[in-house]
Amino acid sequence: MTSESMYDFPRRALESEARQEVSQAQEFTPAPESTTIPEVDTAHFISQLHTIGSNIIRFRLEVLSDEEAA
Amino acid sequence: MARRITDVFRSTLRRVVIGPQSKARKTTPITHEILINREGRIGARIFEKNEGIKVLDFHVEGPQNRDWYFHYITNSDHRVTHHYTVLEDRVIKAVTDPRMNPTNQNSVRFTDIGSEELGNFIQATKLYHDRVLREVYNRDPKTGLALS
Repeated sequence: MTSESMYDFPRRALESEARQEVSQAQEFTPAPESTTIPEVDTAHFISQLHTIGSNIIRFRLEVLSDEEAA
Repeated sequence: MARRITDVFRSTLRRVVIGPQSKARKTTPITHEILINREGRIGARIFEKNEGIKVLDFHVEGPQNRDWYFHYITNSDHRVTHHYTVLEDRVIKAVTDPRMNPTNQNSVRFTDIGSEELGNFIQATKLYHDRVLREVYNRDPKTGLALS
């Protein structure tokens, strides 16, 4: 695998995911937004990444805390 | 009453995370590693349709929730790691790939990820978020409320 194809890897994988979702719907719909790379608002994306990460870790710590208390 | 609800939730969560209780599993504690492994496998499924490589793991970690790990094995059996670090104004990718430097298999290459990869990356994290909340923590990804 070249470094170029490695770079492309996440895009191809996600496009495949999007295609699968369309076929599962069993009807023609415009391709989901996820197949088109939108204009990137980096600050907005960074903010979303922090929110997603903190949300996951909040629930993870909650479970571990409950486990410890049990 | 609140305690009882907490106990019910914990019991449900335990079944979701480590499966139905058996005598052997009854005393298995839920650890950070168990949660990370389960999340990582769910994260890997986001990429399972990709040909030629096998994705092993995709998950978030770290005290500041800014470190994302992506592990895969190539069809030539090389284990590659992408470590994404989310900073205030950009995302840095550290790639460990034994093919980059055969004399030092642990050498790391750092790059700022570009807009296209950033777009792909956030799409993957969104899918990961929704699936992990639903499948590991039994939560509605939109509201964060417990699923019945």
